[in-house]
Amino acid sequence: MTDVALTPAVHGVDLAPTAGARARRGLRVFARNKPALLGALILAVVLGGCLLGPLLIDTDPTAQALDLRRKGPSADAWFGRDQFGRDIFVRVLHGGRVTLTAAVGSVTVSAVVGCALGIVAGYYGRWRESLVMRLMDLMLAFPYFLLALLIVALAGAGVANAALAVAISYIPQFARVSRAAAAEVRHREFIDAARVAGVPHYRILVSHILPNVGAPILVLATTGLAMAITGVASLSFLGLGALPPNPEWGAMLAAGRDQLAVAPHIAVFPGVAIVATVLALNLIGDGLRDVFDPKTQ
Amino acid sequence: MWRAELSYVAKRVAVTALMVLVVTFVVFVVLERTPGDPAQARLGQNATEERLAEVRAELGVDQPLVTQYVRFLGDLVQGDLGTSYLNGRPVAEEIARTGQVSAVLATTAMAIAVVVGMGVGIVSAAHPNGWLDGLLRITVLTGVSIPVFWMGLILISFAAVRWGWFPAYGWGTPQQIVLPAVTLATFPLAVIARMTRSSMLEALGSEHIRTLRAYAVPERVILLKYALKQALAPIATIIGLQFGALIAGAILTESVFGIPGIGRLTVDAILSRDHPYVRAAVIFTTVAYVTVNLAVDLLYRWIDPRQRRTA
Repeated sequence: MTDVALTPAVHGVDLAPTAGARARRGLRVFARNKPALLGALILAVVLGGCLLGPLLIDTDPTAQALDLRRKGPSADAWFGRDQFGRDIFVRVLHGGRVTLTAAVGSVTVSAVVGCALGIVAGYYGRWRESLVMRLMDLMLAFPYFLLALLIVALAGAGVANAALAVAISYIPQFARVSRAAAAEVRHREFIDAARVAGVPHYRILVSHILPNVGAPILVLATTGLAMAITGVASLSFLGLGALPPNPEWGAMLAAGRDQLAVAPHIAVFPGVAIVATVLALNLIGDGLRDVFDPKTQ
Repeated sequence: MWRAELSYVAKRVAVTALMVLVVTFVVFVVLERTPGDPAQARLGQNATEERLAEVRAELGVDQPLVTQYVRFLGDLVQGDLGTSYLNGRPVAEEIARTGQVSAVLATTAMAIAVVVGMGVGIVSAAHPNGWLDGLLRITVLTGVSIPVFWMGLILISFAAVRWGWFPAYGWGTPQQIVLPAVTLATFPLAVIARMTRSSMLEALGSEHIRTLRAYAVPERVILLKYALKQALAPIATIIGLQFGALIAGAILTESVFGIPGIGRLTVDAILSRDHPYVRAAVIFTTVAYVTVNLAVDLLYRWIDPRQRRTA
């Protein structure tokens, strides 16, 4: 009798499809979404270029060629050369590594911290929930970009600090979404069953609550990555992130702004790289939302 | 009903006021912890130790933190935001001046975003899945993906440098507002257009609209009168939520176009470690932000009475 009570699946309560079936169905929905596929393709090109490009092309991104200053795009340098004669194509590839690493690191930090706070708040409720959510409200009282600026002001300029600032200012989003998702499953029967069976809290959190908040978090992380790229590039553009001569998309744009009248291509290509990547992530994010949205199933 | 509503408003205002107080404290403490000696910043590297101590006492930075905070709050209430570490000018005047510039920029941008965004969304929803809808959707998606500062640079490089339609930099004449306002409007415009389209499509699919069609009400009247009214609440919400993006955008737009607004003041003050400016700008912007959010929230309850039941 006892094991009947402990395995709700026998009653057909809360019976979820297996993980494999869910993943296959999700992939089918995603693959039907043409814009999302296009996004995935663009992202693959950008990622592949930034990962492999610097390995295949043996040009130093900081190497100057003063006789070739501000030269437009050509077979020699596909995206042209900047005011120091540096190859912009090579700099975009290297800069992408900096920008993307910073953005991925930043989203990882805010997702891990935000979800930990949100899940604890949503699962336990009571004072833990009040404490966490009031703290998040306080952070949300600041406009997010101003909060990031303030953190960089405190920590000092630099690409790592810029990434950290973006990470911190995005924590409340993750905390809110994961709290809502955790609070929703908290009262489901399989959680009660696990409690009755004597499974400790931390194991319930990790193996039952966490998988159930995964979907909305994945969607948020995708669009959050787009936000983080823009955020890191914005801070660098203002002179608070990556510092010259190292290539970074936002910093390259800042360097190109004085050359707009004579050589607009210096500012155009890093911008195209940012727009393409952010657009790709937004397309993928929309596609994932459709996959996880119960209304489209 | 009225009494419940009034006590809800009072509660929200009280919570917001408390939040503002906590924000001022956090900003104050955080900035006091930042490395860098304001006296050194004003006098330069060659200052003597006595002169440094003198200036520290004059600025009040040699007092304990709590004393400084209480004094700061007292001054704040009287509208005194201190003087700049660098040039010794009163901060309050500068904030008022730059704040006005930013308010003009943000209001113009928001007006463009609301009018054009809703227009685009309505046109899209009127012909769903047509070529125009497809084109508009691609434009809108690109609009949310373009970083503000790049949008600004592109506009300068074409509309100012190449075609010479508008000036590239500066502030003061009506022509100088155009490019920055369009730059700042891009993101909220795209978001508003997207929300208007989906919310209008939902409204157009409702039974109430089907009945109107059965009564042969002209399509344009259905679209602009009945469906729009039904679709308005979520659009109003998304418009309210754009204020945070508007602040981020204004900081960058002002930097790109060299506009003497509060956003550029903030960045310059951070780069030069001028704490009274940073503090005042951050507090001013944050207070504006929470006030607008509160106003939007209360306005929304007024537009949509269903909200009141879930107090």
